[in-house]
Amino acid sequence: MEENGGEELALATSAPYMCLDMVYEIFLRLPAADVHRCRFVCSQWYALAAEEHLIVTHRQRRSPMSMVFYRRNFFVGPLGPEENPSIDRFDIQAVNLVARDSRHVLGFVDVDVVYPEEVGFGELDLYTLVDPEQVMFRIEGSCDGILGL
Amino acid sequence: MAAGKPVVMVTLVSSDGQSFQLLEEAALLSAMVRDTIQIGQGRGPAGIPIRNITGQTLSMVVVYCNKHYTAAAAADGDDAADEEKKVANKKQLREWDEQFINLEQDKLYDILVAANNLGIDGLVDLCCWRFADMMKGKSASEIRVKLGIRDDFTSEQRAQIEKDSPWVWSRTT
Repeated sequence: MEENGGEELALATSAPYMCLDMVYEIFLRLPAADVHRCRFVCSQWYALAAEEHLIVTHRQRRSPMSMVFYRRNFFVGPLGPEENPSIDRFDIQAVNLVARDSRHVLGFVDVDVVYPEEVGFGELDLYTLVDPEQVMFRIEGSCDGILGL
Repeated sequence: MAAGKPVVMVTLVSSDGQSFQLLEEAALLSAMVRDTIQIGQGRGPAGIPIRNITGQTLSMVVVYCNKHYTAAAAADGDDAADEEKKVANKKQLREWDEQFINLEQDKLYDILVAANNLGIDGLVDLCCWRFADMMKGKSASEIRVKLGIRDDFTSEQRAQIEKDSPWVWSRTT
């Protein structure tokens, strides 16, 4: 982890150089990975990049990639206590239908999974993986090879 | 331009008092000019005062409007069936745009602000693309330096971000 204290002193501009409306428009024209990087420029940009409206519009504006997702790798390590087993690997692979290439989009290693008791292990829903703190997330969409969770 | 059409000119006056005459149809690319003319103003000899935009910037904006108006008028006059020519013209205009907008950052910024105030969508779009190109692949600290933005994250915010995504600071600042 780096310290940024010295750098802050070097930059003296207090007012934001650009109004946020313009930054918004620029974000819409950047690939997702760059928007992600730009978030850490300042707190206003950070808040802007997290805005639902931006995320949705950004995804709509970027050219869509038709992809088929499938589970490539899914196996269980040594089972822990019966009510909370752990998965050692969980990989999702995707095929880009247009470019006809396949890519690895998501992988978990050593994730504790909690799932409803009545659901069998093999039927575990791809979209409702639960992390150790039991925070649920869903796959909202993908853009430029980045998956929105 | 159709032969029978009367030629109407409008005058735009920059904040530092410079006047620019251009075809009304070219000036109508600006939503602000459109609104002004719609309410029956701006056709007089005094022209339309454009506040907050200097002559240097406005002259660039006028060049853009003239070029795009001429290109659009030429496209209208073209034989609709001639697809190849249309594509070629579009490509030419895009190349012109790219050259036109290949400016240093401060000028680009002035034009972006001007285009935004005047409501010229095409020019706003062009400027934003150029800015996006300039920011592509840059780290957060590089962008801060480039645009003169202060890193204003409080230590609490930074701690929170580090907690949420511990890999962030080392890779992106």
